Amino acid sequence: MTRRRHRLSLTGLASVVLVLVALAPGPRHALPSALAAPLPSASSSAAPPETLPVLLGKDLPENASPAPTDAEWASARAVRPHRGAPGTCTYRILREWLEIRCNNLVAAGLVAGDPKGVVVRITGQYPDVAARAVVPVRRREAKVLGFLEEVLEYSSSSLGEGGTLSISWRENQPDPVLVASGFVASERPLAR
Amino acid sequence: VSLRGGSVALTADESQVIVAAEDHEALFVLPASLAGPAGVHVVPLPGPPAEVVALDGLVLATVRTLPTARARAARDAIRGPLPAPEAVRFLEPVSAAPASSARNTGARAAKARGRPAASASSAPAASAQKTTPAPGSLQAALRRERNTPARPFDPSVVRQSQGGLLVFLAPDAASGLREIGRVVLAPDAWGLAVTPDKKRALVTSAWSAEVALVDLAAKKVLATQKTPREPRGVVIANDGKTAYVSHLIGSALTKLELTGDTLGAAPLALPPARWRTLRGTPIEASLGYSLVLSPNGESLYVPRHALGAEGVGSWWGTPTVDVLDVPSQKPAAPERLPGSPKATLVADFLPPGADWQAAPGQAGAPRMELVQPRAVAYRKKTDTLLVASEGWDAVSELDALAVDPSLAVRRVHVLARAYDALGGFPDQGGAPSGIALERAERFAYVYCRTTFDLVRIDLESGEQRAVALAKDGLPADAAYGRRLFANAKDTALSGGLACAGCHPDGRDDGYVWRETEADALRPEFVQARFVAARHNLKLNAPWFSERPPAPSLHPRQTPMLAGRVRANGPYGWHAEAKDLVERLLAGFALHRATWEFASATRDTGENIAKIDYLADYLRSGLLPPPTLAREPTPLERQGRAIFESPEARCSACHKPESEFTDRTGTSLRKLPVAKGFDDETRTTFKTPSLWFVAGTAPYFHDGSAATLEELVRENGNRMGDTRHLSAGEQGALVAYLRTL
Repeated sequence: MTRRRHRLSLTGLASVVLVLVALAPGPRHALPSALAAPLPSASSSAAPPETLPVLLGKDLPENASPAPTDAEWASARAVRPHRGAPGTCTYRILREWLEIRCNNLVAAGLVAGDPKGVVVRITGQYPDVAARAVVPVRRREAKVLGFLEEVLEYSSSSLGEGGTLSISWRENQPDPVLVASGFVASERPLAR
Repeated sequence: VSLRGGSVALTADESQVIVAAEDHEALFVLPASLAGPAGVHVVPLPGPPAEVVALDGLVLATVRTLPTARARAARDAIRGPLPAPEAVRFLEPVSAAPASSARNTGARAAKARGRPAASASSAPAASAQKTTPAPGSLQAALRRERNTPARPFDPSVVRQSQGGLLVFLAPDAASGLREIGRVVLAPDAWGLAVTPDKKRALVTSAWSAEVALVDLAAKKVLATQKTPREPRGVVIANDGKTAYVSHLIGSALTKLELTGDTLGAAPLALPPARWRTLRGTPIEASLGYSLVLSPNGESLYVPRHALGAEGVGSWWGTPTVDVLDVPSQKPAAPERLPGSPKATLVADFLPPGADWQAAPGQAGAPRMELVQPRAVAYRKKTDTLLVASEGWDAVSELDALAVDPSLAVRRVHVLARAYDALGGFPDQGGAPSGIALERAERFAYVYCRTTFDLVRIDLESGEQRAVALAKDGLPADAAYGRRLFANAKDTALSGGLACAGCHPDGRDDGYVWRETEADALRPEFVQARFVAARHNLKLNAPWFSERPPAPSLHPRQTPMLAGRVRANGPYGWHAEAKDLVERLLAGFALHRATWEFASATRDTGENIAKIDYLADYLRSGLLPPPTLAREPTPLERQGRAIFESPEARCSACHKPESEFTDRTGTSLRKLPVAKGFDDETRTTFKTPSLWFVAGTAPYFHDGSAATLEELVRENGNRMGDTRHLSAGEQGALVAYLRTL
């Protein structure tokens, strides 16, 4: 089987740049105890950097807004999932639009939830590719996003699970909850 | 104090731990420190306990059956002598397991099943190593007792019950606990929960499909409600006015309203694994043994099995933890909708994959660590759930804030130290069935049902301290069979789901599975010859020059095993297996997934040994449900006369003298092809036994009759002839069938 190695479009590279904004560490108001609770020790060692804030409901608009343009993403701010290790993924929020960009992962998809507005791209240039997903985070909505890695086999490759992100914001909860699971913090490029 | 019952509970002062040892018909009382034998008591009960709640100065235990005198003698012979407290063995602590799988290893994990547990070090104490072969070694396997004769029981005797019980016990310095009262309930009393004011209790009776509200002070039943089949776990909301019941069968819960001394009941929909399976393809659930509310009462968690849920390699569905958003009474998980082209993408340097491989937008592989979920606890300080997996011999810690906690496994505590090198059954830590969490939430106590161990897990360090409570009272081979029956790790027996996964308590899951002929599928990509739903068959790959032919899928409603396999044979849907060994061997091949395909015959010798163990357990240890022993009513007597009449001719094939079957294949007029299934040419089906037929709905091999009433009403002259029966006579016949 011939493996194609295309150079990927660089249009998405603009979105790779992380713009750091002045952020106070930790949440901006008291979280429900549920969000503040630490995870079991086996995974807390890989917890996301505490210097990044989590998403809070008060920071998200009440009404739906249009998806950001590429230029607008430059003013997005970095956040972290409320729970679980981010692995190679970075998270940014602009209005209610969340961008998840995962280095070394080669595919992504919305598994469940409303697909309206959800866009997935593969960015970068092989072997330094990344899977990028943009999803709206809105009250009364929930989503499951799956990311996949390349699994090398004898003469070809296939896809394996690279991590899952659960997003939910229930009616009675003040804040949305992002739960990352299965993401591995490996910065190595794809092995060929 | 946990007001929700379980097979293990801590006393109010947390000084003692109490284990409901169903198979020994006793409670074990041990010091919670598990430091040594001082203070160990074995408290005999009038029957097999299921769940315990320990209040201040009062312990409540459900007892599944109060046997009749005849049944008592038979059950005593089955379970063996009452264990002695002196025989309780305190084992060396085992240090933490390697960091667990936060990542889903998916199908690769499934491939690894059957290997010895890669868990906490399995090395025994150094001193013991000198004289005892290492667990899991061939030497250890060769030293085991084996070839013990079976002790088959008579199901018609063992089942005889005077009712289920709620037993009241008080602390007693000499004996540990002493009975101070009991309330008689419907047979098969199982789940237990106490109201926040500690004045009343709810008890589920599984086989009787009933819930009872009990006044604890007066020790009397205030109200009862019938429910759908197999109510098991019960949990009461913080307001004391609402309760929820999980069922072994079906996806709906039962919601109870406690108003004064009355009890209301209504079904509550909770679609299983909603995010995994495309909208428009509703699936069913099974194994709802337990459920738990979050501390704030806003989330209800139900670990169970989602029959037919999608995921890589999930021919049987997936374990799931379904979450109900209590305020809205709606599922918390999102629906899986038809894909949006913009919402899934794969890098274009990767070749397209087969539909049985991972793909963007597809749900991940089942979490094998959760297979056959049996018990659950909420750990508040980490907002995690502890879920005991009967099939994987593990307790996993899941993120309770995910839309489905089963997609966020944070830590796995494997309890089995090793698996027998020849038999494949666990040595220790087999089939965890209950969890009790101390108030500080550092230690969790877990009871392992098939190896009779109590394990204390340090949730911070991962260290495990185990206590071997008792030996199995069954003959050795039957005891091994008990362990195999529950275990999903054995590659020969299961494709990731143990016997107990479809035959919980040896009963049935109420589900109609899909079976196909092996030859109809190409072995290089067949996933199983037995699937939960049509969409579980993944057949297409871009490298095939043409789309593989879709195999015919034939309906097969899970049969109940307990009390129904005493005969030599024949077995199988068409009476094609001359005996139980042949049937089980065929079943092994049928239920295995593709990665075991190549070894379908490779280990036949080992398979025969395992089948011997299983057959011994099925006939000597797998107890049938308890049913009330009483005189028949006039209506039931009328029904019997109809059943045995030359006009109706029911007893011509369902012969009363041979467990209500003639054990032969009979060609019957074909039923219409059920929706979602394919036509099959064979119309000869073995006459099924009617023992316990009251509790095995739906009926027929395709599940097309939802109730006995419907079956009799629609029968006509297909089986015997019931066309001449009036509505009243049909009712009499059904009443009689319910007594079988």
